[in-house]
Amino acid sequence: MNYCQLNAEDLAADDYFKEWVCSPTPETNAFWKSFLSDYPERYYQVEEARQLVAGLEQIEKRPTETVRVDALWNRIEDSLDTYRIIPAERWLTRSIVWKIAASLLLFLGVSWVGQTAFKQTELSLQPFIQPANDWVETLNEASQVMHIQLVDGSRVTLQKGGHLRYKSQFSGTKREVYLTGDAFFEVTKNPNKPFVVYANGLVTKVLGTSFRINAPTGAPTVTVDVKSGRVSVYPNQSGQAQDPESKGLVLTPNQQAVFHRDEAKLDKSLIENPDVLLSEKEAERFVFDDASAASVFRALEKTYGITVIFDEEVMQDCTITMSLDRESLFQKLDVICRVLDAEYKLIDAQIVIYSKGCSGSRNKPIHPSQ
Amino acid sequence: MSTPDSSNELWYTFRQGDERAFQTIYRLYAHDLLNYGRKVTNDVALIEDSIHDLFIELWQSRANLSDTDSIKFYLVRSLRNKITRTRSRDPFFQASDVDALTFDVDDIGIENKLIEDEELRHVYEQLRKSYERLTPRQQEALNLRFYQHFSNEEIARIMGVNYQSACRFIYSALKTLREAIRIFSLYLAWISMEQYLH
Repeated sequence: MNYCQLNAEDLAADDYFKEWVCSPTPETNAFWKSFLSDYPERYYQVEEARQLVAGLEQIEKRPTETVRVDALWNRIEDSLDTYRIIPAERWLTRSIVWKIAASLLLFLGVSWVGQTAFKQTELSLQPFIQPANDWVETLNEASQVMHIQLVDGSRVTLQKGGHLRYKSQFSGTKREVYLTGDAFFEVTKNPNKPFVVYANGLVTKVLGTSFRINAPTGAPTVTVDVKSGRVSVYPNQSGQAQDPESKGLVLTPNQQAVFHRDEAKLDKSLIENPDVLLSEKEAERFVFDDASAASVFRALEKTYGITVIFDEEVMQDCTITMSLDRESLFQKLDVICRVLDAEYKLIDAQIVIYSKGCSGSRNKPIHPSQ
Repeated sequence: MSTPDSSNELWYTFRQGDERAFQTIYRLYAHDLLNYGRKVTNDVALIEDSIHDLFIELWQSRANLSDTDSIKFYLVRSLRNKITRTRSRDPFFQASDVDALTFDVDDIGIENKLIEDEELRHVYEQLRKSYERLTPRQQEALNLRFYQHFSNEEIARIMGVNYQSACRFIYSALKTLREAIRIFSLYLAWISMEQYLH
């Protein structure tokens, strides 16, 4: 392409030119820089074209409508859910339960009419009001994940091969379910009735939150990953004087518990790729200009809900100049530690930084974006 | 500027019935679809209904879908077809609806924060004013080109016009906008000269 003869609108319409303006790379930067030094008289055309392309991208941008995107997704999911429940389960949970409930109601109605007619008030109706409460067993034999809505509104996403056993009504003081396999739980909040999952010897207890349990049949470990809220996990040991929960762990978002079944041992760690826990609005930008190490670690703690342990005194001269917006937590830590000539270890779901301190001149600012 | 490699894989996983892939596709493109929908109609409910139906049909017919080089192209084109089909069935729909497409000045985005340079902000402001005087089809083509980053070929196929027409929409629009910027730049130059002389 002979760019030296093009006017501003030709340039703006050109693919290569647009790519440079919208997402420049070192190569395209170099190309257009050398073009301008060869043809300085084209400066105004290039500048006008650049303003056109950049301006149009701005004009077309709308405020991000995250709320609408989420709401629309819920609508799509709800519509899909109605198709998805497998027929056998639908028959069991809907049909039978409702038939029993309907016949009970009919029976109650008839006996009430009979009762008032004969004024036999001594007859207690209580025993009949108990709703049908059977265990429901669901085995996901399909090739896709299955969505199960429990009676309290909690949702379970059961992976292929997963097996879930629950009551069609949650009576008593707990909402109890039994799991083998891999499932994600979104539990409706109810402080009066904890939700308890029993999975291969590990008990996971929550009030209302979302988390994933992976407990394959026969596997030596069970893992629990927390997405939101607080989760308590403990080995399932009955018949002990001590409260088993006191031997367990409390997990917060981005944390993971691994339960080793043979040793009945619980380890706490972080999930493989921790999520940013702040909303888009609250999230801080990871762009630092001569920032103290302490402030960088505090930003990490806030963003990922983790704890960073470091010696503030030793690291008081350490500063960081860089931008780390796109990197994941562990990538960020790698870069920060490289710049500060430090090391980090993940111990008990906490990040521990090992540093010998900085002598001012040693850490050079780096700019990964260049 | 699509990334065919990763999107091919995502598309494949989705067609195998993976719901996470399905949701990822939605999350990746929902913003763009909502944004583009506004170029075709002002009726937000119609846009959302169409996106809803599009994704339901996508999930239900996943096994029968063919390969695609660009998921985004597929989705944008399907959305446009859906909106225009619904509208053509609607007896109350008037052709003037398209012409009446206007912008809510507060609603659209010149994000002032991003544009710190006062002068550049004036240029963008000027640009936006001229932009609003373009025809709906010119605006749609510019959206597809400069915001959604489709090629001219893809734009022609989405809008259901031939390649030359798509190029013409874009080129004539760019020419109009460039003139607006140029007049304004001259004015800026004149202002600064005035200041210089006094």
